[in-house]
Amino acid sequence: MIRILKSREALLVGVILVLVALIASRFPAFVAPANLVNVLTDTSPLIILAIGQAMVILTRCIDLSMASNLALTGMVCAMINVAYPGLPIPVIIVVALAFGAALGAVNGILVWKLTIPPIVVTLGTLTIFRGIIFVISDGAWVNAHEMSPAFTGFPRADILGVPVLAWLAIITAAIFFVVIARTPLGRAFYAVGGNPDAAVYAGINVGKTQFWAFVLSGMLAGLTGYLWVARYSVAYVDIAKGFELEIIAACVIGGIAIAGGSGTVMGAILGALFLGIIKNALPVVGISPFWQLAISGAAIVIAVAFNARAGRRKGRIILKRAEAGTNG
Amino acid sequence: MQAIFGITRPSAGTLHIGGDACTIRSPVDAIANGIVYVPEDRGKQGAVLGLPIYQNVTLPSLSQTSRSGFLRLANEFALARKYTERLELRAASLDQVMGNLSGGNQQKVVIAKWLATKPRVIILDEPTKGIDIGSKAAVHAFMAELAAEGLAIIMISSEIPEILGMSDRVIVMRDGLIAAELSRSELSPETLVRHAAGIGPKGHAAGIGPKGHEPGTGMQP
Repeated sequence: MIRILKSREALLVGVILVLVALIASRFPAFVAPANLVNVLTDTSPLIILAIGQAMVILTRCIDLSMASNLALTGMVCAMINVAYPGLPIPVIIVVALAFGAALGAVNGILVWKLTIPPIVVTLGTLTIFRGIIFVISDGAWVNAHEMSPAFTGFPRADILGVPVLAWLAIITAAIFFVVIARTPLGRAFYAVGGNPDAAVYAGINVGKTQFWAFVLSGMLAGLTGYLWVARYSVAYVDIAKGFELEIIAACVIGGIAIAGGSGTVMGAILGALFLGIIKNALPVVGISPFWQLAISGAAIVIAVAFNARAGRRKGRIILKRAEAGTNG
Repeated sequence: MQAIFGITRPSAGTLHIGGDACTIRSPVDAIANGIVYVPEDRGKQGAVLGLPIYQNVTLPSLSQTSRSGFLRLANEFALARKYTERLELRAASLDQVMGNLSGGNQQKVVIAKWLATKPRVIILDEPTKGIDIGSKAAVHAFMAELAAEGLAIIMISSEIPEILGMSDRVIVMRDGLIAAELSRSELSPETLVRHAAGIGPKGHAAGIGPKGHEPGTGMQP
């Protein structure tokens, strides 16, 4: 499986390179370093969210409420900023992480203690969180002129020519690579998703593991909520509406098995980058951005078809092994 | 047996290990108390087929192989190698995915996984069901070896030859209750089946006999 996953990631890298090369052959400006940094920055929220979603999907759950969590946390951050414009940005970030994690914990508790199917829980919280935004904001927008310059400036600040937003995506990727590949919790994600029954026998609390996956994904959604609102300098009820599907699409394209138990952080990142590059290239190439939805959809279908084919190939390997075993 | 391991709630009774009473509410408690359970349904309950061998082996002992909250892959490999070599596992590498192994080798990995936790009591539920004859003999030999080292083994089996061949003490269970306790000298296929079936010698129910090589384990129903 690891070999197949590796090849999936190698394949994605190849596809992304071919895609970029194709675009560059006609529009060389696309591969100018400055533009590539733009693409990365543009895709950063999707990368952060896809990493969160990947953890949840690994444990055989799904988090449909991420975009609503993002919007609600973003609104809360914006309103805090309006009320206390002097509050330093690190405090805002801690608030965003904690508030997002709390919203994720709501999902997690419902899945863990009441054992409601995750798709139902997060479908519910998806609308509940949106509703709460309307309640706390009265449907009003928080606009750029109401926010403090420090608040909106932070994600756009430059470090070594790369905006803070992109750096945060890179840092998140590094941290969660370690969490997933090198901590007992990360291993528990794979065990719970791969075989919940065996995980129970191995002394892993399945519900608790899923709870933590939801908390972490909520935390990342919260962080993205602040970054999103600050970057676009506006907070309203409908921000990032429908974005949850793009997050899941990035994961599926990145080879995170929807049935749980297999996939990597790298896959989620590459899936997000793939979608981000298409999204950014379409206007350059002169295709209506509305085609992006159709292209993302096609990419998902192709990705799933690849997963199915990988599964079948694995079946043949088993037979070969069995043959070798009886002959030798 | 699932009650001992904390998966199902016992209706009554206390559990003593080496004379000390302990409460087990979950598999986590059981493992902490040195009780491990090799389940009957290997594919469903024993192994995570999508994970590599070494990760399966170290799954319940991650606290042993990690340092300050981070996994040490080198330690994991060392632990997995130690126990899979002891069980004479046949696999191309420890990186190999569990699903590619034969049933017998999967069973060896599952047993290795539990031995790596250094248990005091090991419960084997139908340990030789559905595996090839060579692995069967290896599992039996290995059980004898472990018992000689002082580990308490409870084997659950419905194969009479296996029970007769391996047991020091046999407890026949019927409908969730202990029907009889037999020592090695009292063992014969007839007595086993009679107790398992209830009364008459013409019984047809399947005999399920947990049995033990047991220094210092006592279960009181």
